[in-house]
Amino acid sequence: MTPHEVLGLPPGACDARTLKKAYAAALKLHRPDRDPAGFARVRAAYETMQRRAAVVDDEEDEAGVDKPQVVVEPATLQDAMAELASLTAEPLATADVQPPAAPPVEPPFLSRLPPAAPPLTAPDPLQALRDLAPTPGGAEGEVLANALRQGFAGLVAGTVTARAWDEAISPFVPLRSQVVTETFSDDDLMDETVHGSGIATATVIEHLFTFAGWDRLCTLGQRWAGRPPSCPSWLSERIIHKLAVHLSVIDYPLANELVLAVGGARGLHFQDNGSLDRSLMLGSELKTASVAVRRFVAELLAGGCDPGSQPRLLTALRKHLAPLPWSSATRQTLGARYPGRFRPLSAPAGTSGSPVTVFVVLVTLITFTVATLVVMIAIAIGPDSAMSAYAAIPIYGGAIWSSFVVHRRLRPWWEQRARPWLSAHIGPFDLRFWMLLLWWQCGPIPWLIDLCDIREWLWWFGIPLAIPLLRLLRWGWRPAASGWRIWLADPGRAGEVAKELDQRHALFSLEGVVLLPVLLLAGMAGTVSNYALAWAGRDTAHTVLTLGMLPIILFGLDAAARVAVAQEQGWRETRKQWLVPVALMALFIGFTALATWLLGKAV
Amino acid sequence: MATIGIDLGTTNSLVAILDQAGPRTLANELGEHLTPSAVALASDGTVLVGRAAKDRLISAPDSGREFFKRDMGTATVYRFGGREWSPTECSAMILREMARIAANHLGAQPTSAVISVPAYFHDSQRQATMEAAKIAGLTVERIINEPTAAALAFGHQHRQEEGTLMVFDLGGGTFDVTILEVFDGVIEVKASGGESRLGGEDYTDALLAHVLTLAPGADAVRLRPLVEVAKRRLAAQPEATLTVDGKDVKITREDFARCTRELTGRLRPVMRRCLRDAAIEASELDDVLLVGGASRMPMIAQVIGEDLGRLGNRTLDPDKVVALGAAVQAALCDRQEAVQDLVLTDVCPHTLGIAVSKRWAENGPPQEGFFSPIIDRNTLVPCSRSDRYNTMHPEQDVIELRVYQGESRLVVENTLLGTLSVKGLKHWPGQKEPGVIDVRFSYDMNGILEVEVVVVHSGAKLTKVIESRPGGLTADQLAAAVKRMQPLKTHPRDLLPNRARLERANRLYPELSGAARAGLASRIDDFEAGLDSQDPRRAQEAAAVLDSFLAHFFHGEGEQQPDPDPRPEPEPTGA
Repeated sequence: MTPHEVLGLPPGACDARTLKKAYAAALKLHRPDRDPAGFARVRAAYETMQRRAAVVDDEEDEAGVDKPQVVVEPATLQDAMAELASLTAEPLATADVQPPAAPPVEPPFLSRLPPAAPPLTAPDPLQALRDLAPTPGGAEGEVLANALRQGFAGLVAGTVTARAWDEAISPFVPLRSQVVTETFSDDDLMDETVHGSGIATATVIEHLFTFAGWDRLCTLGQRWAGRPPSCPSWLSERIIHKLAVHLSVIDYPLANELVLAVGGARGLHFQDNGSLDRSLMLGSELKTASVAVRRFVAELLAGGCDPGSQPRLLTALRKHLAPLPWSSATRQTLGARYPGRFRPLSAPAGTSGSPVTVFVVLVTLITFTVATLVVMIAIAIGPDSAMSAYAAIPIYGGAIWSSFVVHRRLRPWWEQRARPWLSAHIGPFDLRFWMLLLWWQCGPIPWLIDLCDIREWLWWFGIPLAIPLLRLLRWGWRPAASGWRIWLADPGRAGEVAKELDQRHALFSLEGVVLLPVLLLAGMAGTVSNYALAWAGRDTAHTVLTLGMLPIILFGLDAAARVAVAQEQGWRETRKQWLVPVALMALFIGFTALATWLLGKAV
Repeated sequence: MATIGIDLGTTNSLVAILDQAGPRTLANELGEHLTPSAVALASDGTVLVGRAAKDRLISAPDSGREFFKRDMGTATVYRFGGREWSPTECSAMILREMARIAANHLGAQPTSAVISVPAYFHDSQRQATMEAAKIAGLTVERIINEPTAAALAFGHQHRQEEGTLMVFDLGGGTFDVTILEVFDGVIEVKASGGESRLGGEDYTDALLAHVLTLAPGADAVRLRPLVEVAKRRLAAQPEATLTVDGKDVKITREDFARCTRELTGRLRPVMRRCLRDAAIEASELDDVLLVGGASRMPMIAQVIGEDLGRLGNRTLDPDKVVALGAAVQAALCDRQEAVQDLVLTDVCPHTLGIAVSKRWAENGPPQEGFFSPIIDRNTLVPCSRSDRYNTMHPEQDVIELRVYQGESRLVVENTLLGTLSVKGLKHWPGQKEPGVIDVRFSYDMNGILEVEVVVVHSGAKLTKVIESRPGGLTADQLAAAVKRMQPLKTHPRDLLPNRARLERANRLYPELSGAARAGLASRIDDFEAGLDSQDPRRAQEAAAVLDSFLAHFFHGEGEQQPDPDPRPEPEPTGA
């Protein structure tokens, strides 16, 4: 139905009065409370017609009075599309008709689209800002001053949304120059603060505070001090935040405490990277603290703070914060009382994903490799040199792969080139899986030597079979869920799937969560049984090594993978997350070395 | 039974009906159309509503409550009469009083009502109003915005007129501005805005603070009614005098304007924003309709004169116009012939949306707490809008959808309406559009929000009317409240003061010995016997004896023991 039909109007343009009459009549048939769908239809038709009328008016204005009136029909995209559709439905009827003359072949709706939004009553101040975004080499200060003035001129409370303001201001943000603050006389700010309200003004002030330096803050503080009732609470909070941001350069923990104390009611605190974060924290302690600090800031503003007094300010603030319940013990209590709402404040040292962690993991891996090398040399010059050769494959492979994953230069190469190639040509490349498989498949050598040993049958084939089985349990039979099936069906996507699987496996997979402890226990059991066999006189020195190494490798690889994924995702991990695998790895190094040494002595 | 229209105000409430002569408000037995929105318990335990309650509150401020409308939809609890009362229950008592007044006129108990609320009331406040009606035994046909109701009353009276109208509604506790277009019986709300905590009572408070600076040490509670009278007088006269502690204090209009400048300053931005939302200039307004008793204040005329360049229209009684409009709406709901040529279209006065997280950098940590609007303010209702959202990480299985209302970019500054949990969003290989949900908000004519979530890859649907909210009552609590509204039938022993007295005596008992213990025991026995006898006088005497005994041991601890049996005639309990 066309808008005309919905409103019961004859085709063609109509004046506003007729339109309203028709709308009123239609509304009485489709009341919003009784027939919402009908109402929506009538309303849409009414709005469409209103927009058309606006377009006609505009064109009249442009054309001048003496030109004949052009009836704009169809005038909206929808109508034009509908007309187009009807044309294509009847190709024969229209194919023969040649358009008379040849004015510009532009489809009518393109040039006559109604404006997307109702015309603004005032020029858009934000557009002015956007137009004036600084160009390289331009007279920065002047341009900026003009832009911001214009922006402000149109900014009565609520004119702009915060989002629009953010977008408009973003070109200026990198400048961070004093220019901005200099361009504004304090009176501008004062007026805006006193008379304005709402988010737009708040955002403006916030931005200015971001630009403003310490001196500026002090000046503003002094100016506002005389007008406590007109200084809204959000403004004093912003002053405090700015104060805290400045403090954080000098004394991070102190700044943190300040923000936490003030933000208690609002839920603000400093993140590890020094930026402000909002999280919900409650509790009377926080409120008490908040009140105390507010009082302090009020005193500060009232007394006037001069730019040179930072040290004195710090001392005063420390004194003020001292009686507040911010000892680490109190924090723990609070943390217990409000779980999930209270995060420890100190930045965790050696957070995973940081260079420190990467360094720790690399050093551990290198130590581990060297230790293994020493052990193997001991075995090589001892009774069982052949077996140590294949034990070396996964150990060095693991170390090298971990380096790939962790190293900042090698990682992109691995991610972007090597693995996609391997995935496309060999299969979904979960490297740890392949490494294990390779290692186990070295088994035929001892298997050929010792055909009858049922233990080795189980070992070499049982576990490689168990891994896909467990994966199956985890992922089910979904055709799409199996990386292998995807690879078979669509080798082009294999790389993508492999990446996805590999990422999730690193932290969440069965390999990571279930299989590792299982293999750990199996490894320990195997080692113990081999000890028993060794004492019974069998050649088992290599078995000890290989069995003992299995969990070491797995844990090492897992730790490295966790770090890698955490880096990739930008997660902050706790120290425990990488410490546990690394500690277990170290434990097994010691264990294996001791076992080998004991065996060597025994043999 | 016809539907009645109720204006449940912060200070006063009214009830109105539409009959042959048009809409009219109904008077109570005292001949007053305006019933004060106050609830109190008399010393004998009778529930007082209206004028009586207001008087009682002056002599005994702790025996009841007024202005509870401001706390609607919050978890606030009042304590009076030895019991806890929610704002919803207090409103329910007013509504019941309104229904009773209507019944006196109509000859039968009304069962359904249209109740007006400030346009700026949010979802939980509206829900609380509906709950109050339920407790009072009324079915809510419609929750109507107060300025819209006023416009409806205006439109009903001036059917042939057309034009653009601003309704300036400054009531006892709330301030609303609405811009409407009226033509051919259509009343189209174009924009609504307001502040839910700004009204005549704030002006009274400001003036009271001013008077207290002139006459320090005066009793604020007793002074307030005088100040209220002085405030009203200032609407008509250039100055007013009130007597504080035997001294005359003179207040001029200038004083009044000066001490309330900040409050008046908060009116302007709301008006401007509303005009901007409606995309019209002040000069395009054809009339400004003044609604609410507080709009009579001299400053209001000044503000409207300065900002809009015209005098306000007070042809309809500002106190009654909302109730009259509610009665018209009630008639519309009843589909009465007399109003069939009126159609009302309203808007949603707030922005509604959900909380979202963002990442500043591609792999950066998520930043929480941003507001993503779905229904913008001043969208025509009923309306339904949807938006698409996704999880932050492939492993994320659950989205805790938090629904907010407000205009701020950060959700902490907006109002939480409720939460909704969507599960099963973890990515699985091969899914089309994994972890994506469509959130649809539907906002109805009553201002009640319904949220529908569709998980895109599975098509699973989740629908919820926002229910969990602060101060909301569960079905059980609601039933309990309805029951509580029935005449009290508890044993006197179970009344809180008596229970407390017995507990205290029992606590003392083990600490005493010898004659003192025997004395206490006999007094407790007497008191319990008094309670059991259901004879209030005997119980009171026994309580007094027990209290005087206890007072020696609990000197300075707790409050004075309340009256033992606050009822005139105890209800006989079962055999």
